[in-house]
Amino acid sequence: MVLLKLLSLPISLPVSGMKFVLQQVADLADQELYDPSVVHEQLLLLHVQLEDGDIDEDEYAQREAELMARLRDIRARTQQEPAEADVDARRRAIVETPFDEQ
Amino acid sequence: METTGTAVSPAPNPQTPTPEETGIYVYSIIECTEPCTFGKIGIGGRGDDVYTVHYKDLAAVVSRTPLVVYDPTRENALAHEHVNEVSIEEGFTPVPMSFGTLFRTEKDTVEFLEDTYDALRDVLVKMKDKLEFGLKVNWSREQVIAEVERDNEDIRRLKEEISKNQQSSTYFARMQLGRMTEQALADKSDAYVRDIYEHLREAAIASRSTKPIGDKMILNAAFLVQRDKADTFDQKVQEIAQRYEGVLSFRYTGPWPPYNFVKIRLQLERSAVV
Repeated sequence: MVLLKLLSLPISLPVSGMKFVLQQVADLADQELYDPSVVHEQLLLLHVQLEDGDIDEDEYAQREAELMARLRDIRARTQQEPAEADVDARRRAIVETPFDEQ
Repeated sequence: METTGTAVSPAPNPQTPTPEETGIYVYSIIECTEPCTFGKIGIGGRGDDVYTVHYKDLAAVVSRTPLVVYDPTRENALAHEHVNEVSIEEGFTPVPMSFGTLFRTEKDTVEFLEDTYDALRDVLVKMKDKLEFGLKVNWSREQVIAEVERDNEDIRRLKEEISKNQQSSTYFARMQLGRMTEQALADKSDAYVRDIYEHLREAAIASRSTKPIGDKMILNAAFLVQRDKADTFDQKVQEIAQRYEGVLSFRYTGPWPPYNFVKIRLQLERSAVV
């Protein structure tokens, strides 16, 4: 079986291999696009750029609005509100104290 | 990281919230037995009163709000932070809630306090009279690269070689130069960061470093400081900033509630994995 697979590999690779690669690229793009933590990271960067004076208030406002639209889009697609705002769901409180004692 | 408490909020309700409905936004938990108000500074821009909801000796600092998901915009984040700042000014040591925490009613909020009472008391005791200060340190990457290329013997020689033999200099040599420069930069940044921590260590109880943001930042840290040591910490920061004047720029903020040292967040029961 292994031998047969190996033999047929050169023929099947161009098609399914390509599909595989394309799928991976698409997955990665989706991850980037639909991962709220990516948006949050970009938001942090935007804050820092504003504080450093690299961008002005107008540009900040415009780019923040784009990121917020993306966050809302992510929420709509995953149909999931953040747990903090889901007042009717059963929720549990998690209290964490991450601490690096010196 | 430790999980010290759990609480269950009311059973699911099939109704979906609409913007006309109101809820309770929770900013922080404080130790307080008497009703308090903090002004008309509630999140959402309607000028809602910020007040306290009590259970035993604990209180949640809250305001009324439409039941909406709050986007983490700067405006909203500043409103959330401002309430915490005011309660620090009033002498409280708030333990902050995650941004965007909502309950449907005051009764639900009290139930949360009741169910999480032990864990909340625990962190309030731990954080009593402790404040957070933030420190971000930037460098000028270009300036440091120029310095490294001047001061590092190996890098200087390799660079000269490459520029002398424009045509024949190999891809490999250029790659190596890049790698060596990166390494020298990382070493320099580590040395700066170590020195800064070393200088501030004594005046702080604890520190947490987060990933630097962007390519100019070499340090992004939060320090937990005893309230009565805040002046000493201030002074230490001024000293180290002076030592590196012209080389590093320091952005120092606070006092904040211990945002980076306590996290109280709500998790959906169905996705709870403990």
